[in-house]
Amino acid sequence: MKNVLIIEDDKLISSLVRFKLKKEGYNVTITEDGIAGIDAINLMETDLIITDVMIPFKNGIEIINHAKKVSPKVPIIVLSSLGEEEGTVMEAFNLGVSDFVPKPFNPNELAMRVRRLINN
Amino acid sequence: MVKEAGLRKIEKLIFTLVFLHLFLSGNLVAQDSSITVSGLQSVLENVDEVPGLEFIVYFRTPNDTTDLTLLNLSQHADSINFWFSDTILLYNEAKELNADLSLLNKGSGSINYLLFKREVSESGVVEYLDNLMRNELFDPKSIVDNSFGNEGELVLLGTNTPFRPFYKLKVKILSDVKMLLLLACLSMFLIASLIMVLVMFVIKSKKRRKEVLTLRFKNLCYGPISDLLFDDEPERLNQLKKEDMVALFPKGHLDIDLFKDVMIQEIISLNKNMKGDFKSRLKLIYRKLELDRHSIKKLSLKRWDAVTAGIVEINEMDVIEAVHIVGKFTSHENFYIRSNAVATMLNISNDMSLKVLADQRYPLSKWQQMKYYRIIKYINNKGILKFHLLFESENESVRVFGIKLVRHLGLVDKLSILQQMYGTASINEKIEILKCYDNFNHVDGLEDVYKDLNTSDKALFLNIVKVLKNLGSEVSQIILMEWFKKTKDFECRLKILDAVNSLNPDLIAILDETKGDDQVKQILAHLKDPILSHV
Repeated sequence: MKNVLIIEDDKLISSLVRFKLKKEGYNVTITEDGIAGIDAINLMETDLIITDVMIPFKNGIEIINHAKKVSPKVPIIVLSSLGEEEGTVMEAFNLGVSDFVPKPFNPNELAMRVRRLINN
Repeated sequence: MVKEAGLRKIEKLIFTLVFLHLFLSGNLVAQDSSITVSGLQSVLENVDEVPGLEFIVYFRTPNDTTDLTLLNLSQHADSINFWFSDTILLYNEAKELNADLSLLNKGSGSINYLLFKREVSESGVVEYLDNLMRNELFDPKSIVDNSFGNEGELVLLGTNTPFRPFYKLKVKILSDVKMLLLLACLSMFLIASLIMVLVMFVIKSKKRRKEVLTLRFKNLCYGPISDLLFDDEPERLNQLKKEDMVALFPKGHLDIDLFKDVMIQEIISLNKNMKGDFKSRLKLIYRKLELDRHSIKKLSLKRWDAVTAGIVEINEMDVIEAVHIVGKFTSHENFYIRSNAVATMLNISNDMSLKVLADQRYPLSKWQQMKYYRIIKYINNKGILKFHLLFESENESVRVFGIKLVRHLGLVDKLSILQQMYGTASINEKIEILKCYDNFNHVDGLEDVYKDLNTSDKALFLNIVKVLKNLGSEVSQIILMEWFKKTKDFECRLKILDAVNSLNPDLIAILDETKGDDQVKQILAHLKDPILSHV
């Protein structure tokens, strides 16, 4: 079973995404802030990371940076509002994130992108 | 006979005067003094030392051979049988000595009084004691009436007198009115503080409890909402009855108002973050769980924040059937209720005339204008909005907002209406109309604009110059140069020359050659400067 790590401070969104991905057959772990996210990247074997850009304690860019250093092959999906943090999102793309899903989003579409990235 | 009658009259007069003298003097003594000459001895017997008062005992022996030196008496220099004692401080001691001398020697003794070493009579002592009493140096209360020789009689008399404690338990502070007021204020303050602390504690604990419950309810919401949203068969949600859906939630929770509030908030939050058919699914869940009723019920509450929350929920979840209720709040005195009610009406009422906005009595704030603009921009894409009611509104801020909408939504077809409005428009409206002219290069409107260069309003004047800079003609150049000569204000002159420079740089070159006053030189230097010319 493939492992997906979600770093998102909105519990409702992370719960819904987990629900959807679990239905798709993934093992999902949720962390609600940047520090816990970095710890999870260090400790667990992850096949895909879904992260928000604006999260408590650590910037999403710092997490992406760290993930790229620790496990550069793990694909990262940024789930964020494009309008609010346009500069940050562009910076995230420059760091080599695999995909960007803007909010509001369709969970089915997100699940499809996860499947595509993990299968590749 | 006449002499006798005169003598009788004189006798009567003398008698009356003597009587009055005696009567009045007696009264005066009685009023002024509580000690009389006759009562002096008994007073002195019952008091200790009186400051300044001393006693001396004189004793005359029956024969010349008696020697009283052993009793500390001194013999008088002129008379062998006349003896006198040293000065004695206590009357009782003097009395005792006198009595002893009389008993032993069968002579005659007397006690004399000394006031500050000078011998005085008994009346002198009485007067002295009265003085002391008046000055509170001698306490008459300490004088015990010793007329009761018998101790038994004294006790008997004491039992007939009701008991009154000499030292009353009376706090001196309590007899002071100011101190009492201060104590009352302090007590009130303390009581008020205690009540406040208590109220704060209760409110805080309620709030804390609400927070804990909200968190708990949120966690309880996630599962059922996810189940309903990600059902493998989306059509099944339509077929589900309320009872089936309620069964997914913990028993009885959907009867709790706070749980309903949390559910609604979570559904609205998801509605904002989701797209596609999930939005319609969320609205279906909201309605099937009859949460719309809960939102409508909030509109009848007294708390403004609850009413506002209800209106926002109705707006977010498109509860169209509540439009007529929300419509009642569009002129509410509370800013938040009013703003959200108008926004909701604009969003869900499908009223293309924007009447709800045109009828606004209160001036529109910038925040409200931004909020309404976003909604109008959205609904303008769905159908054709009729803006004329906004231009005809009695509320100036609404008319100004209507003109702003023309510019921001690109409503070029409304420029002719604005041109008609210009003549009777207020300063603020004119400024907005000028911005529209500038934005859409509406040269036709310039004819009416020239007249307003006479205005005393600087903002309007500068906006006209700005429009003329961009849209002006040769006529504009001449008019602007005339105004340049008339006006003395530096900023106005700078903008005029800037406009003229933009329209016809040759005119500025001529002005440069003629070299006007210092202000002109300053402005020309400003316009030629590559950096300042953009300021």
